[in-house]
Amino acid sequence: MKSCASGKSDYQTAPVRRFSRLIAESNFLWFCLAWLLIILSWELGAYLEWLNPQILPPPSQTIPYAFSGNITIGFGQQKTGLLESTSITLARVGTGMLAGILISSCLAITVIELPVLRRLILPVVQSLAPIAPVAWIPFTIVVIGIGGSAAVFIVFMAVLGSMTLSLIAALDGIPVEYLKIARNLGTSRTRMWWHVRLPAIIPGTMTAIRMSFFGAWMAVLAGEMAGINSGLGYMIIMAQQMYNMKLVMIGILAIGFIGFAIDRLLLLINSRLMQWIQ
Amino acid sequence: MNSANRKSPHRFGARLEFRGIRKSFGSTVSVEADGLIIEPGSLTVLLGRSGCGKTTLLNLAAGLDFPDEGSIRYDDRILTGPAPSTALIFQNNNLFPWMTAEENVAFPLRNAGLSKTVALEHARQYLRQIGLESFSGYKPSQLSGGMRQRITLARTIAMKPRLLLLDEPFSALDMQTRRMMQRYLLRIWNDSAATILMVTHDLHEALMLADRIALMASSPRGHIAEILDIHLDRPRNPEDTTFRSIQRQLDRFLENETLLAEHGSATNLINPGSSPEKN
Repeated sequence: MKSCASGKSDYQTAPVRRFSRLIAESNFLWFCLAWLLIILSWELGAYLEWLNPQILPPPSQTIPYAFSGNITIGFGQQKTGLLESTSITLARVGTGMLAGILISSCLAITVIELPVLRRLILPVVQSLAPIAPVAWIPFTIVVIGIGGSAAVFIVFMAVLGSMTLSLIAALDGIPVEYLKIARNLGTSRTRMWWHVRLPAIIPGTMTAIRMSFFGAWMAVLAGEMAGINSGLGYMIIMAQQMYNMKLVMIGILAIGFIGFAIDRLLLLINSRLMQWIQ
Repeated sequence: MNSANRKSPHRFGARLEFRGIRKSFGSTVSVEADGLIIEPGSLTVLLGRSGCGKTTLLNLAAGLDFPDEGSIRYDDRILTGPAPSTALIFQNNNLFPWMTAEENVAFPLRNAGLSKTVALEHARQYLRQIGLESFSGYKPSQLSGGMRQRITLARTIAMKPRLLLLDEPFSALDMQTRRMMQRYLLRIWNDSAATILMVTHDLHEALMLADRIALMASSPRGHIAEILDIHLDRPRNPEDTTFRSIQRQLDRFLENETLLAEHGSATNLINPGSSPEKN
């Protein structure tokens, strides 16, 4: 059954093999190396005055500032910090995505269970899906306002169309044998969803969730930059207006690293789920 | 004959009858079947090249699809929904890849309302009977094709069906495994007294198993060209002269069928009258 998966290079000595495997397999190592190179050239550029340190403050200033623990910007009610802004934005993305996944699941279930409604729902979803999430920002700000719920709504709209389409495509793509066999084995409707359809669509759905997250993450930040009055995007805009370029840089890097970290997390969940279903 | 010789069954297999069946897909592909009767406890094989509507007939028998015209009678009732007490086996994807072997076997038992522990216990028992107990916790992807089909059959037996519908169940297996599975199927048939209707394009397989072979042709539309009763003793010997003569005869038929179907699309051999170059 299981193939004999012993070492493919027995002629190499153990330490060499271990080292080369570490190099080859440690994505983290390469990740650090790549960023180290960027930071070094940035620092060098600022040092040699190729870059204006007023506009692009070097890492030797930015990094200590990032970890100084009391980064705040603005005054009075507008005052906000990096940590606070980030958690606000994350909470918005989380809420919006959950709501989006929930509603798109309901739509997908409806479309599968009631084929009559398929013709009604599908055209609407298909025409909503290509709308870029940022396109909802002006509409949302006018209709909902500049509070947190506007940001959640933008995330929700970013997720809804594409997620519904992905779910329907995944459900339509389930090998027909599984459904016929399940029906033949006397599976009830609920058990059909939980024990057959859900596990069958997990791979496609996890990819769709990752894609939706990117869309949502970008949309919410754009929304916060375009008028919503709190969050990471708002913090960056405020830092720019107060000419705190260190904070602008830190904000941008935070967007990148948090997005990256969440994508990795989703990937990890995906691979766990794949182990479970295969 | 063979079915009469089998052990006294506690329950009889189902009887199936195809009456004036016609089923179309779009405007071109269609299948007809009329007067095919599948006796209780018999093993009937639908034999034909791909595309002649074998699987369609099987789906109709399972009550997963319904004919445009005519009816299927299960015992003496016209089939209007999924056929009762009927098990279905395909070439692939019979086991759910996200469930272990034992969970797969336990699945219909859970559907029937057994508790998880009891269902799994039964499942392991069935796996023990086929000698695969040690693979209880394996996922289908970790098992060979033959093992997967054996587990599928074990799950099927667990449901005690009166009718087994098999759609090319062994076509994805290598020759040796296929032979083994054929013997295994005959044993199950013998023990369970269920009626079996099986679809295959493998002539040898048909002759090794069938009481009856319904030969299917595909032009001008899928239909049953001939029904042959196979009066060969079991266990069957492929070296036997009668076996070989029937095999030759069927082989010729299938070859003609293939030629006709392939050229039919190009030069319209189906309706020789309408094609000028034939005259």
